[in-house]
Amino acid sequence: MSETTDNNAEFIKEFLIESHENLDKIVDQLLILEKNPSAPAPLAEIFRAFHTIKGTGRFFNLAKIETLTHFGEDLLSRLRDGRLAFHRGCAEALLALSDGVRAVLKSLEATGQEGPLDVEALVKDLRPRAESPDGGVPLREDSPAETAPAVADTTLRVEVQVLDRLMGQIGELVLTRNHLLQRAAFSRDPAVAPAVQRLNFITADLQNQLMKMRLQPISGLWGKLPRLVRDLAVALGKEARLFLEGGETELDKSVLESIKDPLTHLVRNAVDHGLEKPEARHAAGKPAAGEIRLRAFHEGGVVHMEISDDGAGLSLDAIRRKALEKNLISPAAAERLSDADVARLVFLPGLSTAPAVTSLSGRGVGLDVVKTNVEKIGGSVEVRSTPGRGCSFHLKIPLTLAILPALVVSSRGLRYAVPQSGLLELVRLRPGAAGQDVEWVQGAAVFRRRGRLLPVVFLNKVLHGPDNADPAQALLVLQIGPRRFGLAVEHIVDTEEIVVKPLGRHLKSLNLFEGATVLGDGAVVLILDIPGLADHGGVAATDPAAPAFGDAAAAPKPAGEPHLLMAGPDDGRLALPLSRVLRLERISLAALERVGSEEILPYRQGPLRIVRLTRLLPERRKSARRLSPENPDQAHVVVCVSGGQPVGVAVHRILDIVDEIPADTRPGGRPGVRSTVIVRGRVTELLDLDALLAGPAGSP
Amino acid sequence: MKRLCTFLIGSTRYALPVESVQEILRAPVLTPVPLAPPFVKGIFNLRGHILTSVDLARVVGAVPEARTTGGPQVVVRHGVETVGLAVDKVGDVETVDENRAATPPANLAPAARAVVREAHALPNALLLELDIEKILELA
Repeated sequence: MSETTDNNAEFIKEFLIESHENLDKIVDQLLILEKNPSAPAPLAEIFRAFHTIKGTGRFFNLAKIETLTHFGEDLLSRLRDGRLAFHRGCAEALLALSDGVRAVLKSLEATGQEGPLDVEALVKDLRPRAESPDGGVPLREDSPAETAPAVADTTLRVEVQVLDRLMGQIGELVLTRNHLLQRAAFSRDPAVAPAVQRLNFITADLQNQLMKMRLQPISGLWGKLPRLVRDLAVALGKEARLFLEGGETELDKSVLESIKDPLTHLVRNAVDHGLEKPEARHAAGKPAAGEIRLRAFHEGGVVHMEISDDGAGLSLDAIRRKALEKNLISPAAAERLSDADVARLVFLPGLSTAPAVTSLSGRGVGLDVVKTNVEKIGGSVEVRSTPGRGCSFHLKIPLTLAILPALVVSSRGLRYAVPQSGLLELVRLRPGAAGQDVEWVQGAAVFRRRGRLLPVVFLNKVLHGPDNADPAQALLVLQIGPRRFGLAVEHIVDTEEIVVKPLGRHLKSLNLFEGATVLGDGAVVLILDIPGLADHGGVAATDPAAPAFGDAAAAPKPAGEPHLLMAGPDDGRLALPLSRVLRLERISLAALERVGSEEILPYRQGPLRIVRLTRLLPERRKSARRLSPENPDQAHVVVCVSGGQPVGVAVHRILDIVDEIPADTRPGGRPGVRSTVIVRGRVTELLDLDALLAGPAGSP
Repeated sequence: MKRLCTFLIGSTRYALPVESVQEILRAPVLTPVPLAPPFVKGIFNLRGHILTSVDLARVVGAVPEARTTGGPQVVVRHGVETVGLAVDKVGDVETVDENRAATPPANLAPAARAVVREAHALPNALLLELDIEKILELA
């Protein structure tokens, strides 16, 4: 696969940088050694440096490098053991040797080949010179390689802590900018707004650049996998081939660190439980060697990673049986569960206990841990399995951990931040009467959500104790691991990008807070820890009253997928499949920049193209009732994915999320509209996003 | 001789070596922390770092002054840990002779005894020097 060569190129580059550093070290140490020939330390250092170059050189089949460094090692071991006394000739030979290595490296960098240097001859020249103080011929004057090549000159090694500190400071800058942005709105000085806007762009740019600096290709993480797969397959008497695709996809270093274990786990699982033995594969008409594929790619601001095998797939019956045995699902639910739902049961903690593994021919070893770890960093994991054809895990991982989007909510006049990663949806509770939405079942609060019962945790109650008249007005539907619950809060205040700051030691034992942050107005607020909230609220992972998966099938299946309902400029109703929506933002129109005929918003991951629905879909009614926007300087933007790129669609208002889109539709009456339906008594146009954006108005 | 930074809880004078005091803040805005131990008065922002404010009055068993703002904070650093100590009033820096330090008075409230290292008699008052490690170990 071409991937391997790509990976190799990356590794060779690293090898070049590392080797140049080692050669520099050799020269430095040789000079020290010349002054003090009896010192053992420089000798060991030089030996180690040659040894490292030799080892990696051999790995890449670089014969010339190996010959040269082997001679170096040989000489050094004799010096170390006292079989040879150090004299000037030794130093000269070793220096000439390192120059030779440099020449080969240089050629390797320029042409990918080891080049014309006759290393055998060089070694032959050097040997007598090194071995006796007055032996051999003087060194040839045209000894190769004078200058270090480009790759070492254009890169710089920086300690991760330095980048971390820088990231911290940029976090501060983001907070300061947020603060200024809020204050600038009140300023009478006309010069302030543009200056603050500029600061805004520069900050966003800095944040981006630094984030890029911390990005590392995922291939670094994959490097150990071929060996792991091979060893494991041999130990299990299986044959496995590993295919890696997209190793150049980049992720923040700290994110890479935190997905290392889950990834290893999934790959191990694929070999151990996924692939069958050669005989079984043969019987199933498959090639004896199983395939394990890793694929990584970038889409919509997150990194996707797939780990798939072509094994037997999950044993759904065994999982169903096990889940029943363990009381994780009710018998009725077991009947109704779709295969996809059953497959998802592997993430339940109960299924992964040790005795379950032996009797279960499918997987389930600590997959709940994988899920929890991935979700801890704001990612998600899904499983798909086709019996007899294999199983695949799909991970979505955020690019960075340093700055995260959060929802600011309030309780008793105090604000709290909730990370958006676990947030599934927001529900407005009907004012005054929480009882209308939230019901009580034997003292436990539940919320009916699409026919499914969701346990409800009241933020006020968790933080301040019971309160009879809870003024909760909004419900956050949160998910962490297998647990899904609703968090009732007084108000939703805002969304904001926050920087997580640790709490002092006196507060470390509070598992309710993940940390604290400073909001744009300078206030310090606590960041709620979603698992901690679930614990405090007594939300069990597999509460029979609200199973994570089991009774989902009991709910009447909504016709089609959920849609986002919006209002156009003339109050016309428009809808978009929710699966296409990345996030909703409110932006200031002043922040838009015109580039040619496009409007661009400086956004988290870079420039975001903004298209205005007004331009794409001109007024549809002559007698349009023009709505004056609440705030003419602001626009609601629906960030969607189209053609792999995020695009912001500016709409007039965002109304709601609807689950049921009637099946009886009428074809759309104009380009960019897929069909027309009646939703809540209003004619609603279902937008065809790709057609809309590809249309003449969409791509000017 | 050593120099102590002094402060008041009620009418009692407490002190810490000047070296362990990083700075003094007049009255930072505190964010209360629900469910925190009672001696935690809140958290505040010091140049981007979130510090815990330890209510010294509660620690030494005095009745804390009811007030909504944080009041003065003595920011102390010990090792990697930095905390704010909420006090009623900040006093002067006093020079004391460490050789003449006395053990804390026996009739001191047990809560205070747990965090007081030694006592220094000044001509006009008694200074109780706090043990910063003990305060940081509170939980």
